[in-house]
Amino acid sequence: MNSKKINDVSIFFIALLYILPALFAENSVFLLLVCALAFINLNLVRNLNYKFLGIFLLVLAIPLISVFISVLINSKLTANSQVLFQIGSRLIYDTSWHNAVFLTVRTFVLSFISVSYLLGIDYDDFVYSLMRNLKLPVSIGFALLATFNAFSFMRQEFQRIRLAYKMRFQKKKLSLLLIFPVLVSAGRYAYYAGLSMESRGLQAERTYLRKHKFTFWDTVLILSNLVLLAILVYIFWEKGSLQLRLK
Amino acid sequence: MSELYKIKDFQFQYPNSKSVLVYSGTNFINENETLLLRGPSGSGKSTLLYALKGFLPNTIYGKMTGEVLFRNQSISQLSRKQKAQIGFLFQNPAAQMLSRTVWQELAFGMENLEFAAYQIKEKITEYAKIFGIGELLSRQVSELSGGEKQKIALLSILLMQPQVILFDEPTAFLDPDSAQHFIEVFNQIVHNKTIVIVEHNLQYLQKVVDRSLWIDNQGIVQQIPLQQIDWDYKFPKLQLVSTGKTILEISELNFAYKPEKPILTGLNLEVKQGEIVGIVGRNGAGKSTLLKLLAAILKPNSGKIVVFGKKINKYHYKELYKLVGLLFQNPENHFLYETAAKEVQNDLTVLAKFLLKNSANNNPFNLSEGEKRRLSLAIQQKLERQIFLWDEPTFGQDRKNKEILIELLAKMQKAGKTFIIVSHDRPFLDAVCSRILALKDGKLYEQQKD
Repeated sequence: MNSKKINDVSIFFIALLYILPALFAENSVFLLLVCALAFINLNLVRNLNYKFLGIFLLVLAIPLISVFISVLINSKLTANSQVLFQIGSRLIYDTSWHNAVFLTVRTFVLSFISVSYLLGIDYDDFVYSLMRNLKLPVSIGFALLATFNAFSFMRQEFQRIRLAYKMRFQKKKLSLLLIFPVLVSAGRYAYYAGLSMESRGLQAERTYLRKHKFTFWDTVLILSNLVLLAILVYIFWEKGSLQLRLK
Repeated sequence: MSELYKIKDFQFQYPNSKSVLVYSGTNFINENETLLLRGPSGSGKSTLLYALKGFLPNTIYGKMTGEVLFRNQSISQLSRKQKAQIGFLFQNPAAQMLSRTVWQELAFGMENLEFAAYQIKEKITEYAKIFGIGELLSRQVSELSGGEKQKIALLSILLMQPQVILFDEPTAFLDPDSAQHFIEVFNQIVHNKTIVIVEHNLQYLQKVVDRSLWIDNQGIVQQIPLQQIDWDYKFPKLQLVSTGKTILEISELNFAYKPEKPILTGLNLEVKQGEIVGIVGRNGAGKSTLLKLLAAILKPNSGKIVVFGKKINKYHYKELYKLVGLLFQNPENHFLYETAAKEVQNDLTVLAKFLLKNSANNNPFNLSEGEKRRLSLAIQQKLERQIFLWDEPTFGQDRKNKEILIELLAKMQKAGKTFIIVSHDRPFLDAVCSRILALKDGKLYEQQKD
């Protein structure tokens, strides 16, 4: 499927579609299947930056291991808890093990879906599409775009300020104090962006050069994902292995 | 000619600023005239342009008295759409950029004015061809050089086809060929419009200007007959003292931001102590990149840079920055403190030398662009370095300030300091440089001095 055929708002909607069951379901296998479906689906419609995703997974491994160990050790036991195995002098109970596995899987699935879909969404197209199709006011839309641009500007500013200190031999290489001038710079950036928008007549009624319409393919994609997810929920529900924590 | 603007006893004071910008008397700007606005740096020329655009006092806050009328109507009462018919080029083109790609940036204003999509595409393609920026259309704005950003900023204003165009130093970052070309093409395609230009590079403007006003630091506005303007002024040549041993050596230097687009290819250069070397070249040729490589901010792909007999990559940064000082193209890159005085360790003599004594307690970011440049030069002068790499040191400077800079250069050169200066200001380079090199196709070529 040509990635340009799919609207970025649809991609965002599908990400929410997969995140919601991952938030409420309490079955690790179900969560992993949701994650796999979400990833396959995203691969069909967008070219992903696998290198970045790989680095993200490596970094994610550290908090995942921490979550696993922390829950394994600190999980509350029930009256029916059974000893599963022993590590040194510490007894590991089945409830602790299941809780640890489940929470680690949920953390992984939520993080992975969020980040991979974030990588798959073009923020420019996303905001333009919101303005065109969902009537997002242009003042908010362009403010959002300027904010997105400000992130890369802030990164440059951070480097600039570090360099300015370095060149004058001031020791503030990684100090938190650098955050304040960066924030001030971001404020100035926003000020000039506002001036530039006003200067060039930004207003609600405007032409949009780029097309951001919802197409037939968006409907197909959203419906097929809804159906797939519904089938998955039904299968697990029928088997009695899916519990939803809605309270 | 009928009056378009009427400016009567206009005064403006920025918040947190002690000085009041004054424009005394009643002044007019006529329909369809091209007006050149001149005055010393910091006299409030840019502020007057803000007033003519209708930014004051609501968009840019401050205390305003007097009145600015546009077709006999207070400018602050114009609708947003009417104000969009007044095109405005900011002094710092980077401040104007909003979009991610060049194409989006050019289309932004036309989209706001509800031009049809086909018209927008046609006009952008046509203007890109006329102004020779076709290759920039698919680029990201963040990848552009200062001069390229200036071209895009200029075009984005012209594409909106405004009735009035306010230009704040339109040629400041353009190379001489591009500046000349821009003015010629501009003159051909822009008709029946009112144009107000603030500019220090007068050599390009003689053929297009109808009238000239001078604003002094006391706010007295005078009309200056065009015949009295020295359009192509030259500075007296600096008497350079003899130079010493080689202190900077570059051999076979290669650099590219992207492998498919090399910037420097086998570049060689040798600089002797006490030399003042000027580097010129087209926008995007890699002049600023070369200075960043010499300051070890960027790493070359291959080749060697030797400073005082030692390879640059063997230096610890503290050791290197005791020898080499870089003046960034954007003066704001130098500012770290909340007042101008603190930036130069409260050395008011240095500030006075750069005519900044009255701005000592002002926040550096609140100074005019010309004053910001002078403050960054003052910071540079405070640094005891051996080699100075200066990127566009004369940006935003009037003739008097350039003369002060030339005097300073002479003193520093006598003290054995070495300079590599990247600039589009040819009269300045002709006056101060021992030799001028042109950066073309990734290499340096010797150029004849005037």
